[in-house]
Amino acid sequence: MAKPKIKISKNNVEQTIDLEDLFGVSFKGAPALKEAIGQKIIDRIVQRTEAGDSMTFNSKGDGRVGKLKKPYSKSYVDSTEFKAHGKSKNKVNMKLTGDMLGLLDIKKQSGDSITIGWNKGDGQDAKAFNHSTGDTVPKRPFFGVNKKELDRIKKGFKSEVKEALSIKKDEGKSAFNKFVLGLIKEVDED
Amino acid sequence: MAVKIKGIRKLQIAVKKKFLTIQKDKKMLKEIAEFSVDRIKAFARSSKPMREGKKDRFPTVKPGTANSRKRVAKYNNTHSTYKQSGKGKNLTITGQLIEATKFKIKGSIINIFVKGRRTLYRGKDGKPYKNQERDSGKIYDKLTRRDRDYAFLGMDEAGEKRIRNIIKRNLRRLLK
Repeated sequence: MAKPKIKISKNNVEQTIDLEDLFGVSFKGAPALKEAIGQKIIDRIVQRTEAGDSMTFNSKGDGRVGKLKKPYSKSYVDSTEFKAHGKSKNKVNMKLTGDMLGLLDIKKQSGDSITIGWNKGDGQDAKAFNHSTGDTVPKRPFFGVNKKELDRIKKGFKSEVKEALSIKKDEGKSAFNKFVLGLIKEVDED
Repeated sequence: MAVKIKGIRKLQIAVKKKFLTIQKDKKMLKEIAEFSVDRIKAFARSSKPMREGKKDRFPTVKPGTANSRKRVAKYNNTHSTYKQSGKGKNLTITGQLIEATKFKIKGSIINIFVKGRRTLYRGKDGKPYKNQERDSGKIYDKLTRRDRDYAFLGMDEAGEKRIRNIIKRNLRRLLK
């Protein structure tokens, strides 16, 4: 499996995952599964970050889990915002308002790929870039999933993928998924 | 809209019923309500109004109010976000008013309001000041009638997007 492609620039922080490459089958006829896997990837990034773990990618694209730099700076801890949001000095979890992690979404879906990141206009790319690179703030890289994490996600979807992509599809299930997909689309468009 | 948000004295978040028909319980509505209340409290304690197009901070209090705030702060336990300086833009002294922000879910509607009895402010002699209002809801009502710029119930654009994300996340988890 190829390494998941990660882009980190001031106005675009995103990771594209080729699901065909990951699972070895095409996902072109399975939009519901793509959506469900995308959410699992987001959940993984959020859970890991909230637990205080970082994700650092080297120049070859290999991601390594570590610890987010502790503690927060004194001036940040003393700020009204810090107190207002009920944060604690030693619990580094990249959350003040929670918008950066809370607005993380499936940005794009094309063919067999999904792209995780922030939508334009959410104003989170620059923030994520600064944390990832240490620009103007202490470096606390958190974005993206590595190969090991993707393998774990893959395991969790093994039976669903097999079932969804088999010739004998469950008609009821696919109608339900279609309905839910329609609702998800509507949440954004409405 | 997936969510409809309105109100200043009572905030109402209406989630379209069809987004709830396939949810087994009220877990998602509770998640939205808790998120909204936490955000409202944190924004208010940071002196940030929620209403769009408004200044990014609450207005500065009048000198008389600033002095009475100092007096109250001297003899009562203040909240960690109380600021004596900073031109007194912060609404918080003891923190009771903002803490009284609560929610109630009815059907697909989440109502967010300020309600509850408060501990009265005490003076130098340790006795409560006279003629104080006990009900936080009435205090909030008075405050927003007098100056709408102090209204802290509401939801900003990013908050609305996050509510949509909560709905999407819950829907995606239903996919098989």
